Amino acid sequence: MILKRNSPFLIPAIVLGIYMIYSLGPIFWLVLSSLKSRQDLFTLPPKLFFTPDLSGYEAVFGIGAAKDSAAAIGLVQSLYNSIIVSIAGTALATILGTLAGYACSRFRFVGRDDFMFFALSTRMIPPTAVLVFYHVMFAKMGLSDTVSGLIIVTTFINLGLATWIMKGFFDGVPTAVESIAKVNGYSRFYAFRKFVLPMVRGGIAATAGFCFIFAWNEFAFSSILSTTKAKTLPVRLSSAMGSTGIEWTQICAAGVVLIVPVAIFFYLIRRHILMGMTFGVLGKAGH
Amino acid sequence: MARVEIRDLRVHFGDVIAVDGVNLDVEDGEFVVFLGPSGCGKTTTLRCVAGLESPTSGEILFDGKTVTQLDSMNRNVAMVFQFISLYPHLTVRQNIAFPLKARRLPKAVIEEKIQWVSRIFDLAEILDLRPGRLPPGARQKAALARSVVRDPNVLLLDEPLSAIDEQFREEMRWELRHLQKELGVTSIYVTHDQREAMSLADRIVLMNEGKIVQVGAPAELFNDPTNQFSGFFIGSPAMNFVRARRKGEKAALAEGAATIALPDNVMQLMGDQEVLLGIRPQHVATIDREAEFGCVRTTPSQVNSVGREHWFDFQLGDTTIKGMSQSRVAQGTGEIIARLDVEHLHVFDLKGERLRGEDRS
Amino acid sequence: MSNTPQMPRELSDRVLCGIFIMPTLGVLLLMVAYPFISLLYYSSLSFSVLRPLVPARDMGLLNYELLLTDPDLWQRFIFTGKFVFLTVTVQFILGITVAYYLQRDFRARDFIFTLFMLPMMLCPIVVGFLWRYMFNSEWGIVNVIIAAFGGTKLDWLGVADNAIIAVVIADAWMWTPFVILLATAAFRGIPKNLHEAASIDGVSAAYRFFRITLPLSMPILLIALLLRLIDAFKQYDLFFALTGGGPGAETMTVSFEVGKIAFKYFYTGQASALAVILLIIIVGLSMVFVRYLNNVGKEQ
Repeated sequence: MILKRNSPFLIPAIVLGIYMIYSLGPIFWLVLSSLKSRQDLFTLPPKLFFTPDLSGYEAVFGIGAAKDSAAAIGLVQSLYNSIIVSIAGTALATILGTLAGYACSRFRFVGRDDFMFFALSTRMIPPTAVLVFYHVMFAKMGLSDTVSGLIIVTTFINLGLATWIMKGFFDGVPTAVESIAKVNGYSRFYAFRKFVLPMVRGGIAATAGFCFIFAWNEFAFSSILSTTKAKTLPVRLSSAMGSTGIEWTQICAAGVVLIVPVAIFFYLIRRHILMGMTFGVLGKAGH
Repeated sequence: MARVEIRDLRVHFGDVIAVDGVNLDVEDGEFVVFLGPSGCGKTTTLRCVAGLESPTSGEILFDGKTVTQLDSMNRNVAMVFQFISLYPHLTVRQNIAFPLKARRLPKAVIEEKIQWVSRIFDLAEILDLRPGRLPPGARQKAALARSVVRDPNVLLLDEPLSAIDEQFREEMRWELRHLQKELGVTSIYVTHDQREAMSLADRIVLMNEGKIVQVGAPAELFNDPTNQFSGFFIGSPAMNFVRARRKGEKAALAEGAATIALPDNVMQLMGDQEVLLGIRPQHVATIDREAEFGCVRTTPSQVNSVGREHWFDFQLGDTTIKGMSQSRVAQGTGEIIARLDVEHLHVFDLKGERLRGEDRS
Repeated sequence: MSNTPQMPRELSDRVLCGIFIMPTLGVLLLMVAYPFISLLYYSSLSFSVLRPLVPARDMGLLNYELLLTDPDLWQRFIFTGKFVFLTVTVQFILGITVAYYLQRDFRARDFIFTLFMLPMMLCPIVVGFLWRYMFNSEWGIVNVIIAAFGGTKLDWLGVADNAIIAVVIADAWMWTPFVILLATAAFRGIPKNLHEAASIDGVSAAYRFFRITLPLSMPILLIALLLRLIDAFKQYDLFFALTGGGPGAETMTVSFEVGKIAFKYFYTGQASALAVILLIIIVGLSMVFVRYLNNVGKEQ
């Protein structure tokens, strides 16, 4: 309805079509390559039709022919680490971000804007810059190469984003909600827990979704702070450039395994995502 | 300024029929108000004239030429919306200039037009402010200024005053009416507020369920409703309706809760079938002595005096009848005589259509 | 109020605010402020985490002087600037164009929208490897397609000028969806009435886009720009997997360089100095940006 109804459909179709090739072509190629055997990967011209070979996936999950092989055990362990670290890190960042976002939305305190900026800095800092220090700090605290250490880092990288997105959602809840609760004799905390939180359920889902994407895919921090047993899947993949050359099939299969949960998560919360990405700015600008 | 014709307009949204065969001519310079409850199709009809909605079938003509296939940018119409019609990132001046700039008018002409319109609408003080800083009344005034500045074929107004405070609304209404006549711009105005419609319109188009119920001057709709819906929707408080059936020489009201003597012409209209009698509260009074026609002995169930108007309710079976007396009606003091002014009694069949005698036309 | 729940004791708003803020503030202090101060200290030292027993020597500002007079480092900054500018420009042109055409209602729009988001969800390290695999000069699909259309195969990752194009293609591929997402959110936030008013005002689609849609979307687009600039500036994973900084050091960003000094050569003092420089640049730019953003927000 924003474009004219009778404007030609051709130009949008061409633009979207070209972009779709650029955007989805590599994804298609990733999926295709994850199913190829080593021989099929390097043929010229590349094969579109071939006998599917599941060795990449077998390696990632440590099943079939790859069962008990050293490489596969490493991959499975890293998959397991990835799951623990992302879920715990996402949960922590979402909880802390929700509390901080509520405070920033509702309370006027000294230095609130500075606090918001400070929070955003978690997203701005180049990992390598602070890693120089974390490396030392984690060693001193005995957190190097531990899953708990990675959970702390994962929480940290998402905290700013979680605070900002949640503040946007809380801004969208009228303050009258708390006023009414107050008049009825409920405490502020009770009002927050029983009335405000349920109203931003979608926001919490969107926040968790975003945090999960970044936590699940995080590489820079984990690559330095985990050396052997705490390695996450992305870190494990980076060492797939072994002595026998790059294990393309394994990388592609792991790529598919990595994207599936995120894509499902994204699909489930798709309705809240657009709303979450406005950081509450729309409410201000719309009128 | 143009003459607008709507020919057999139909709009379907999926299974929902929003507009169901509307035919209407709006004369050049006329102020027509579409009135009706929400969902009656009045706004959809307006949006079809604007070109914002495409009709399922039917035609829209400006000055005899069809514009049905044109999109809104080529129709040269102007529209004021209920809430937001000004661009929030532009000042009032830039807002007014926007449609003119889009038409690539020379700068001097634009400036001249802004001066002209700001004089008429008294905008000088707010020209350089952004809409966000203005009260709703001033905002809508600026929106009006913006719409008339480019001599539109027709000015369309979609409940433009509903976001404005009651007090200020009265004033805006008066001003709008005055300006419309002065500028002579053909205007179509949509509202659900019958008082607003009565005070603004040259002609009211009353709509219900996608159809036009009645078209006419405000007084015509008030005095001569063609069906039960017009009678009910126009006027405040709403018209009383009571079932009636001939019973010998008289008529039995509300399943025999009372009998009433009615003049011959009304009795003839009723025939032998059950009908609905409609009468406005303003035409139900109390009298001291029984008159020839239209009298009912009853006890008031509720009394309410507002200034010199003394409103009273009484029950006929399940039906409550509201009346207005010039003198105070005491509550709980027993029987009164209520008189229905038979001159203003309307007879409808049970489907709600007005029954008219040959002699009355 | 007989049904009032029994609360332990009413918390005042102040206390509640404190309780809500504290955990986050604690994490921020521990993970941002403390490191920054420590980095400032480290940056004046000459030491290496590999040799904790060798006493650190106080170097004053020598680390900074060495860095800022090193022409190689300036090359890193120039490359980083080029990369950030190119990739963010490509992302915004593509992202806004696609978001614009996605406004039209058509069947499967939401499905296509979700598909378009996929690259952003893929693990960056996999993105790097995937493009490295596709950019392979002999059997990579990119060259195969170029050859199929009669072009000559390019050595994408072996030649400096090609390599920067390759990383921009890969980075823009991954992050254009983010711009599409935010631009779509911004476009949808514009009241429908305003589009109708513009349509009635008789303006052309292009005029409407540049004079209404774009200015009204500005606050969100600026947030998108800020986030994209920062992310491009600190991009690490992609270079790690795609080019490894090569050929030579031609695609070495500043952020990558810090990592190399710190974790390949283990010059901890010098790496800290570069980290401090990097943080000052990025935080300074962001502050200017956020201030500007606040002004835009207030005006509307």
